[in-house]
Amino acid sequence: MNQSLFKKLRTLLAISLAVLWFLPVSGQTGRVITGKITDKETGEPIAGATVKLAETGGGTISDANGSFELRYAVANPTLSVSIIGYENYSYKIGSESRLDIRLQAKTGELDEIVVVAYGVQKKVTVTGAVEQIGSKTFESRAVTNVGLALQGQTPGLLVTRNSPRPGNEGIALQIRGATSVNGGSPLIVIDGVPGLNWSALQQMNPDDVESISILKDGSAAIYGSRAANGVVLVTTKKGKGKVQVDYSNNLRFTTNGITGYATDMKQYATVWLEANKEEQIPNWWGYISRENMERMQQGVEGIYPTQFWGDLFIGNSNRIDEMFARRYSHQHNLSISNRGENSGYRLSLGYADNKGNLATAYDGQKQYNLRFNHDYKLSKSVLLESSMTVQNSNTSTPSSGLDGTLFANDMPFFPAKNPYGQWNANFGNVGNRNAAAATADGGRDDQFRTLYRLDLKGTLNITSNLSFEAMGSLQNEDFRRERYVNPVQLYDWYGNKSNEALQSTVQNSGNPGYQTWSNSSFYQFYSAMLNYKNTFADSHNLVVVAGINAEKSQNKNLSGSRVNFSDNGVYDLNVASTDVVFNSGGKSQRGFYSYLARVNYDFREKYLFEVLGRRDGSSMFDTGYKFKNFGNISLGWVFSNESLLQDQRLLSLGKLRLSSGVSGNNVGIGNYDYVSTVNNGTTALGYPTALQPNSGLAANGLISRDRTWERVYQKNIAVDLGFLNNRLTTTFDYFVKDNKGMLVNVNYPSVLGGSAPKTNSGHLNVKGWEFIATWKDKVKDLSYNVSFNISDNRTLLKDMEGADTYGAGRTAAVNGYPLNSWFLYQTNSYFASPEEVNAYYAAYGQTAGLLSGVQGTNALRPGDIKVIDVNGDGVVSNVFDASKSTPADFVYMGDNAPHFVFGTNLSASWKGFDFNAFFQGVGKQYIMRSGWMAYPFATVYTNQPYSFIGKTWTEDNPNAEYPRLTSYVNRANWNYANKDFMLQNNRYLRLKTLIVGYTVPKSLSRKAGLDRLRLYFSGNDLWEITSVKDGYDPETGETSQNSGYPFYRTWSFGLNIGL
Amino acid sequence: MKKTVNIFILTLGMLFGLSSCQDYFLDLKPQDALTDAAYFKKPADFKAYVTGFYGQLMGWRSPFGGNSIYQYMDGNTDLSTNTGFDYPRGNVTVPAGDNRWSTPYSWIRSANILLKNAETYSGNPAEIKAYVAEASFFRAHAYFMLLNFFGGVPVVTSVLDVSSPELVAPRNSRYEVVNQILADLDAAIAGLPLEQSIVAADKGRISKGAAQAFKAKVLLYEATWRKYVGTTTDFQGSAGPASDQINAFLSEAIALSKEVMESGAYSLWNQNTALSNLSNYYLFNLEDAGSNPAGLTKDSNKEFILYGVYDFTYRQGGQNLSHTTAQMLPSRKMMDLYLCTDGLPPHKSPLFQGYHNVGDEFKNRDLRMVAHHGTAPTTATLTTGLSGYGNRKFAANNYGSYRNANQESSNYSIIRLADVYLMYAEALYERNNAITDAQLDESVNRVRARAGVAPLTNALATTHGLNILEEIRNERARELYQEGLRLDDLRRWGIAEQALGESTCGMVVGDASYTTAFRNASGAATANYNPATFVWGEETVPTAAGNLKCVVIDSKSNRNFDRRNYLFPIPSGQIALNPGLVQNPGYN
Repeated sequence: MNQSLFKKLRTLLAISLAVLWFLPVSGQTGRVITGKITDKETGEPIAGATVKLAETGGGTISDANGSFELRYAVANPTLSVSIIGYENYSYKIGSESRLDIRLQAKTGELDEIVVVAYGVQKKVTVTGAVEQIGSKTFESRAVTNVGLALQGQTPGLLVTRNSPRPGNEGIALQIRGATSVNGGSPLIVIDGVPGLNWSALQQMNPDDVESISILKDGSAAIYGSRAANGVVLVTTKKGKGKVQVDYSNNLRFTTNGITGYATDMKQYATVWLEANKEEQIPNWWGYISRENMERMQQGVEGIYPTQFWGDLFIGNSNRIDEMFARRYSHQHNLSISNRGENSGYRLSLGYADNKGNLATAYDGQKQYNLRFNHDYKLSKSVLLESSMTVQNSNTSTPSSGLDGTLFANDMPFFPAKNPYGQWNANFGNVGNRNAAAATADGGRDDQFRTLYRLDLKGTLNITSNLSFEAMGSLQNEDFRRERYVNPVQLYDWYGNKSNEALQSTVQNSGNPGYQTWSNSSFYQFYSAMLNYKNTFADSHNLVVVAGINAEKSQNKNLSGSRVNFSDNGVYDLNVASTDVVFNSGGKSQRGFYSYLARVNYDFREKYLFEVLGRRDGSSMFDTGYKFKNFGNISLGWVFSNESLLQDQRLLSLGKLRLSSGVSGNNVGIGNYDYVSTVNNGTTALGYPTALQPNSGLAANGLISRDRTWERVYQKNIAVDLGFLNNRLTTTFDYFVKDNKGMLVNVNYPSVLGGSAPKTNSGHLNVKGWEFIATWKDKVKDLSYNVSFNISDNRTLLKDMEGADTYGAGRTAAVNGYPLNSWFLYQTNSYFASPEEVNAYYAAYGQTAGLLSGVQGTNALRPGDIKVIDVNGDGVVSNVFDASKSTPADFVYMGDNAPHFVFGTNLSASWKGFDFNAFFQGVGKQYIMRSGWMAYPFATVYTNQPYSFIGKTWTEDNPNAEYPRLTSYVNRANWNYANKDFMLQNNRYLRLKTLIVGYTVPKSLSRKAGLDRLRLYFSGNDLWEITSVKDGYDPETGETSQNSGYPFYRTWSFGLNIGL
Repeated sequence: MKKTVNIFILTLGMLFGLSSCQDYFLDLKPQDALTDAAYFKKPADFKAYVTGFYGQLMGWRSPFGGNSIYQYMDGNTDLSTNTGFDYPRGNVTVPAGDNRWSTPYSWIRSANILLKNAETYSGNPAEIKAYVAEASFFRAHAYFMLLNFFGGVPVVTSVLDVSSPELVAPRNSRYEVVNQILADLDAAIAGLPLEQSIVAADKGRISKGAAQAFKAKVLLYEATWRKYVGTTTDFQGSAGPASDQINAFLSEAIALSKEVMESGAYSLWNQNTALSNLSNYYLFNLEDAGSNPAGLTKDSNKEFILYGVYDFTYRQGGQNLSHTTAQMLPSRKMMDLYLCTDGLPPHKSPLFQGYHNVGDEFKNRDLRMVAHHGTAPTTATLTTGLSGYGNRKFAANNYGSYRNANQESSNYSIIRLADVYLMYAEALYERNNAITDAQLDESVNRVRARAGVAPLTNALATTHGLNILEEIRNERARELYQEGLRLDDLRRWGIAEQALGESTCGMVVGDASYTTAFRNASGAATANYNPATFVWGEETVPTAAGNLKCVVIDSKSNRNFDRRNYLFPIPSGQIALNPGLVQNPGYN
């Protein structure tokens, strides 16, 4: 370093120290300039802008009103103003003493600041695959759940749900496809601290979210062993500007969506009649006769003679109509925020009551949110920040009746009530099912969850370039669940008590009358970080972050149950009978201790470099095996900043990004796998019988000390392009993930006698891409924005140690294939004649293999499907034999992962009007319906699917889409189960959100004393197109019997008021 | 400035503090479970650990999973027309995995862990003697399961690791497995308490008598297997028996049975007086006082020797038992096996009333006929393809009000005194080719007395040309109907191919020359009979009234039980992992 530079630096250091520490005390003499900084377009004051004099380095920050005052001694200095989100401004001061500055907001989104791991970065300098979602995503949405609101918003983040029920949506997040056969989900980090659990994110107040960043590639590796599934960084809103009070609400109702899966009495009878048309020996099961079925098909209500159930009343009873109806929900948010010279705060309150569309009982969730974010400048060098959060939710549902009994097992022709107004028994004297009765009177299942979180953070600016940050976060969640069951008496049509009780409300040790669970989770997080940031020679920008994180989570469980409970209007374990009592406890703890560092360097925002790493230690491993290292290197080249590309107007941004790193996956590892623990249980013995303690060793005593986290190697290459002054921006990412230490179950001979721990010997390869295009423009008063995102990924299992066996259907892990691959029997045509059938039996061994199931009354006939003997061994079988070159008669037919997942957003604003339509969908996903109603007569004693009617083989329709219907289960299984043609594409496009708003002109709203008044309509899931053939909602998933609860459409109206 | 320095020092201190308390975050031990290092220190540890073994016993939810108990209830054997089971028809394919192979080995590992820890137990060995004996019993029990299903299997008596050479060891011969079982049972018998000294709270735990009865069962099983099946099912390369142990096994089986019979701990549950001759029905759904009209409880049952404990409160059957057993209907053969009250098979008895009218065949018969199949019917229809007879063994009394589906909670019998009586008689006959009347009276005839039929005597046999061995064997079919023993019996007697190869039939429909409720004098089907629902039509088979036409439920053309089916195939996945495992004959 040469002498003059050193001197300059020393002077600079001295001056900045003087400015930082002594300025308020000593001050400066000379002239004074005052002024006000406002937004050029809105005229709103801008607080927090840095006002500097280039010559001296002296400066100040604008206050809440945008005002500043600056003293200076030199003549005609150049004043510069800078603040994030606005163009820089500079002005050579002449003789004036007052200067009003109007700043131009930056339009190009690449100047945005992006929240990244352990800091923020200008988007242009980001080298990793990071997408940021702004608060706008959560505004005016008729959605309380933050996780759900993320659906479709960014490519590479897949959000799925399997139910519409509030609090029971079954939401899952997945970034860039699967990472492991063992699963795994993204790490959720809220304001720099991992969330206690999954509901910490889901039950946040969406109104509190400032931004959500999704770290998708190796840049997440700074989170080490929990980063392999990506990281979701949530930043909450802080106080800003003048005192602002905002109130918004949303009132909504639901209507049933797709319910095509549910048949009625006529359709049910039609399935039987159509199937028996094709039978030589009809099978009417307990309904005895064709006459009965024909009456049902005509919709005749009345008494039917039956084989097992005596004289039975059969009538029209649409379960969906009986049990689901319009329900009203509402949500309110109130916030107060402010930023002054030394402190800022934002206090927000939220309340929501969300109801599913169950009509027989309350099925919903109430949510209460409180958040107080506060920061306070203790001195020029010390900033204290604190945050308090309370999140409370009460989910209340019926304790039974919403499972397979809803419409699969409880057929649509037994009305919920008999003529006497009593709950009607299904099948008369059987009487063990009635979902309407079970949900209405069978008891409740309530879950109470309260999260308390306190964060404290102190930042000490040691020098202007170096700061130290210490942080602590304490999070505690109290969870309590109470479930009780009331026995419900059913009656037959004539008012007699049914023989059997309503199955799900029978009280016994497996279904106790009253159960209470209590779970307390406590999580501590401490961090100490050093941040260094400097620019050398105006060109070399360096940022270094390094520190230590320490974490510990502790769980305590307590549960109790009493077998007998009768409803006297008081609901507590204490009021249940003490005859038979069970209880259990449980505790667990795990901790992390990690060292981490990140270095960012760029040369004039043109050549970018980042390296980061983490050394994670965990209590989950034995001494000597606790620590593992993770890290990532990434490079970026903003080639549009090269001089060659300066003189053109088409390409406004061009950037190339490369990254390569390794992170860990924290699934598949228990808290104490390295020791052999004793499990305690009970065994019933003795007379009179009682429970005796029993014990066993976990995994029958087999342990492993050296297995560790899965290591996922991630590579990313991406191009960001901006055209026409960034009105059109695109991003394309290609990535490869290699989980090389995937935990897999090595198959040992069973003689071992225990389940050996998984070992780090598997390899999963995932390749994929993501694309985003956004067009943003403004034509006079019309601003509009069209964006589209799409992504896809393919998994491939490369090493699965141990024997590789699989069967027909969906198989989770087969070496050489994607995860969850379909292996289905191949078919090519229907039997055209009895001779063909006979020849087929003769050729494939009469009773061998699968043919053993289709004998006698189940024997194949013309119209049934021909299953191909793919491996040519003369038997059509379900056997996998690795020794054969073609090991089985089922062949690979794709995987069941969603592919070409996309979202598209159209938004516009014109004068006071705003419009937003958001579509989301899946381009390709192969599914095969499973369960009792996967196809007609998969099960004889359940409801039957109607969607096959008219599409099956008959003599008049020999080229039908599906084989002959049959009322015999074994043959139905032969014709339909795991056959190639049963695979369907679960493709859909759904209007997730539609928002239309109108903001009353300020001139009017001010008269009412309001700063802002906006009215809006917001709807969810209002429209869709789908290729699902059998009447199910595309978000349902594969199973047929547990999906009776219809997905609904939500229509809502709301207000935004600003004071 | 000073403040800044202070803060700086403070923060450095914090940083240092944080790193020095690393153990607070990383050294975390299990808080709610002991580890094996701290276990097996007290007798109570051994007791609790062995208590965990009781789920290995066969029960309403079989230890091999789900609803598989029905496979062990004679479904689709020669005694039953239920056609939901492929094994008795010989439809067996080589599976990739089989719980019947893998699950017993996990039990064996558990037992080995206990036995290993017992060796290093620092207290007085007498304190844990009974638990060690129980573990020995359960290891023998697991090996017997394996022997029964697969024949010879690898014998493991130590706690293996993932690198143990035993993992890829070849199969031991069935003779070596038997030796292991017998040795373990000897150890068990030596250490187990008498039934009489087991306190009420421990009833259901293995007693000395239970181990003796179980050993007698193993001995008889193996002796008859060797006598009638021989080495025909042994895998290629299997060693043969070290010596001809058949008679020694039989002699010991006789002695052990006798000891159990005379132990004073057990007696037949004969409640015929209180229960209108339905002992053989109410014994198998015996729960609390509501389970039978006489208000008898499980306490009254001194007949079960080895059994699974069930309880309405603490361990329900969890099986839709009443509903399902009601559909496991008996075959023609079963119905004709019931004796007439004179002790003769119906085809030899003058008391037999024929089949002309529905219900005639129930007259003058064995009480077990009504106990198992319900009161003699007065009408019957053959319009649904079913056999025409009912079934109620194991079904709850007052099903639907006393017990609902899945709540049935009677104890599950594995060995009961009636079985011991019949084993005793069979072993005696197999050993001596003869059995005295006195020996019959102290065994078979006690069972027959409860069933209301005249005793079996050498004179009766001689007079009526009865084969005593066959009568003893048939007594097993009658008495132990649906108790999961029929397939074992048919195999060890070497007659499974014949017995399972015949059509299973239902009611006699007769013809013009033998009218019934189903065919009239012109031979036409009556309104009670819809021949179209019987896809396999009718077959003329031997009945108690000579060769008559009966409805066929499962045709012999479907039935391919073969010598290879005496054993199950070794799962192909296990052979892939250990190519040294030779497959059972006939499955390659």
